Amino acid sequence: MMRDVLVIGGGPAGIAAAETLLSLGKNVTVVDSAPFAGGVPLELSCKGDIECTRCHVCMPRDAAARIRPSECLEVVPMASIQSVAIEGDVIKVNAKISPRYVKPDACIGCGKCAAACPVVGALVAPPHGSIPNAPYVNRELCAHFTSKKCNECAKVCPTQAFNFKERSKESRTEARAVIVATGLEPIDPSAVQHYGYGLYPDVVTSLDAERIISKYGELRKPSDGQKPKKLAIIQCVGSRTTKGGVEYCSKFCCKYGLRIARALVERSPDSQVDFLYMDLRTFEPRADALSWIGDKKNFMISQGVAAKVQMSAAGKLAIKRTTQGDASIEEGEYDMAVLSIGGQPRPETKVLAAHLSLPQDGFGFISADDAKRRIFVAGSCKGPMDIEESFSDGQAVGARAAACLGVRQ
Amino acid sequence: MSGNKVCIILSDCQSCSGLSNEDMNRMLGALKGGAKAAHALIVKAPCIKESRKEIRTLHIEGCDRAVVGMWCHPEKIGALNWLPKKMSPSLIEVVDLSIFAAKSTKCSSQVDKYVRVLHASAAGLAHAEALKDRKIPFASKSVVVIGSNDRAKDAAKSLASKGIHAKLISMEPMPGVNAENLEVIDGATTEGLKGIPGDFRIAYSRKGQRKETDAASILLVSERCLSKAVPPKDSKVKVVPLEQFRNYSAGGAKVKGMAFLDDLQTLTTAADPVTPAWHTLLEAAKTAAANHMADYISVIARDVKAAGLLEMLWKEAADAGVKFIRYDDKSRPKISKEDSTISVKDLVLGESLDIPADVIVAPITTRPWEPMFIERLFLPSDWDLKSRLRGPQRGTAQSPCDGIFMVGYAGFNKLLDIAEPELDSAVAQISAFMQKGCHVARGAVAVIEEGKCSACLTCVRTCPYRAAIMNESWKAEIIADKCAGCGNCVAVCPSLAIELKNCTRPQIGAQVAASTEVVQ
Repeated sequence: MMRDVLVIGGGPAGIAAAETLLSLGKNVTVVDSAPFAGGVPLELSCKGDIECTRCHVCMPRDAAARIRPSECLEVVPMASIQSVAIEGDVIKVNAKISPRYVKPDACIGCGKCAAACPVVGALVAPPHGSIPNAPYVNRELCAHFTSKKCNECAKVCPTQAFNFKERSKESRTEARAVIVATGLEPIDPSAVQHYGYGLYPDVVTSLDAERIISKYGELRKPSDGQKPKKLAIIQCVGSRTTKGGVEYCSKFCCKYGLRIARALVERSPDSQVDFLYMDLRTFEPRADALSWIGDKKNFMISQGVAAKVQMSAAGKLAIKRTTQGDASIEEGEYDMAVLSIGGQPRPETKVLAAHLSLPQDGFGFISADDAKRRIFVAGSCKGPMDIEESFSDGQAVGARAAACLGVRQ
Repeated sequence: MSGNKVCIILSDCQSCSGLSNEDMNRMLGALKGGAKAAHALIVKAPCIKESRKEIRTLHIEGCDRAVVGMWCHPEKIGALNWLPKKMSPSLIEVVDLSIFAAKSTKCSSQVDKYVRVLHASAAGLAHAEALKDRKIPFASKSVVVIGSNDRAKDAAKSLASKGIHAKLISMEPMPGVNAENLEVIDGATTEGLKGIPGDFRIAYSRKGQRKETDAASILLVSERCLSKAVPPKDSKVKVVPLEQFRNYSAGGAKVKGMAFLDDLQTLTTAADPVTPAWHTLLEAAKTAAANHMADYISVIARDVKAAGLLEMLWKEAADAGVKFIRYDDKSRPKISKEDSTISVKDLVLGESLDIPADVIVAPITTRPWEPMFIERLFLPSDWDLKSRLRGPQRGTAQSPCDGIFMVGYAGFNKLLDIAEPELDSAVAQISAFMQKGCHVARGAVAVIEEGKCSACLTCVRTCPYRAAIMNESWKAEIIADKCAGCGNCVAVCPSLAIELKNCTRPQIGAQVAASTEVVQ
């Protein structure tokens, strides 16, 4: 079927672009590589406790809940782009769709399968606000594929939505315009060896921390499941560095780092949180960003990131850092360290940019779009952006694409 | 209702509803016996494809309207998709019965409730249909853009170029802004806002006169308060606004020290430094260093907000020889009176530094609105726009309530690179909003007969829109503005005191106003 716009990537920017295009009367196909469209925010936790702190994690989810697949909107999850051909006014995209083993049209989301599944993690239930609102089967864990022919989920399903015979298939989409919104992927901090990520279990990334908070409702140490008494949040891990990371500033880490700190400090007044940063690059005024601290004793914010994380003799994490104001070097003992990691362009972005012959900068960001050929770029695949920014960029690019297509005859 | 056939369809999703066959038959009997329904039928679980087909071909033939009751989320199974295509969606009422579903044992006692919900919805649907003018067209055809900067100007122009009548209200004079469809009201201060989306009235004063203008939608951009680029008294330092740095650098004068400040006001006040244009600042510092315009070039800032890819520009500037110095919030930099230096206490090292600065380059900064624009607009108290701004619904270029959009500095200070896409997106949303051209109101409202009310609070607990409250005489009351006419309270009221009735026009107006409130 001929579509007005094909949106590649279903993250904040992709969803926002799709919503804007739908409101302007265009029909849209969204292709996403993940099982659920919604992007990185689906994995993050709400950081508002007493009041909303505007972390904007819910923003793309709410947008995804507003737009539901219909005649005008098709969402293709678990797809990887195979080839792109531009023939005159039409852009033809071939994608390979991995099997989901659940028919999204048939599923009614009753959740009985998730309760029946004997293997943890084999059947992944849809998070709130994701499209499609149907689970998917992780082939690597599912007992139907690994050992014996388990069929528990299919037995309880009231609508016969399971199909274990599904194979990956090809999908062809023809569109008059393309919006590339592939976004970022988190930087793996194992390359930053002096922080000991992967070596010490209680050194976690901010993404890990958010997953723990999402799961348990509070932060717990991975080593023994206890609440940390003293915690360090180390900013700029893998960003603004030439060693084991990227040279640019990832822009959103200050925003979420401070909000995680706030949530932790407000939820557990008995644990100490130290926030170590290079520059505070939040965009609300600094006083606003820090106004919640008030006279709280259990929060310390200090300019200057940590130099090294080691294991001390007492089995705790010893973090070496310079103190603010007198440039002396101090070593503190902590129960846990959260590394605020940045983002880098996905490898898919590079392949796609080559397919569409879009220019890329040295880091792999797409530096310009091509309105003449109706190829647009939205969101954080053209530079680091936070959720809010890439959402409004998606809206803006969606509007531009719609204007470029003009009124349909 | 008058002669038109209404069909009540009930899905027998027994796994979800927990009703037995016997209960289902009882319901069917009750529905068929009910005077309000012409047909009542139970279909097999519509989540199964075969029974969807059945519904489409058989059951609704000959009916003009349909009420569908289901026990799972109607949207989830796409209830509207499997109903006959010739029936317009506005004639089909899908009722989510799951909110009444008894999860455990007392299923059969629920049957009466289900029957009443379905009857109430059928009545509501008939009312809505009877009310011909459910669509309320916008009274105004224009959009008001409030703001005094270039971005406000651009927004107004691009709206005008889309054929929308735009009005630009600015505090500053706006010479030379002319376009078709564009009306410029410059030198005006906004004073108040009344009305509902589609029919706002904005009061402003201009040259001492108070006037009013109408708008269907409003775009808040920002107002500009310039921090004056004058150096503090008794100093020999020359101040160059960042915007005029290009002219200054063309002069080619060489000085001993040149300092770039993140905000000139930082020298005199303890207010937050505001730098919207870090890009320009870093670029200027780099140029100054590359052209050797001074022996000592420094950037003095609270935080070097070279966010994102600006980091590379910061690196280039640092490589070219620009020194970056961060000051502490508690001890702000000061210009010494004797010679041309700025004394700063370095934040990390804690040392006091004397930085040579014959020339200070600082951006003309934009302050947030003073007094706060929102406060000055005197919004109706029940709108509570200000608190909604802080709520989760507010993103940039998002509408805090229907028809009002805000971008850029209207939220808080931010980099220019971020403000621009926001503006594009707001313009797009406004044109979509204006294309709609009307509001659609539900036609029915629940009314409580006070004499019958036993003040059991059942409706108060049930109402999903929080429209039911207890009034001063300790009887239940439905706030008409908030009532969506869903019929849930009618169904649950044990004293049968609630009925659905037609809305009056003012009530619909009030509903439209209330629809701008976010349902909690």
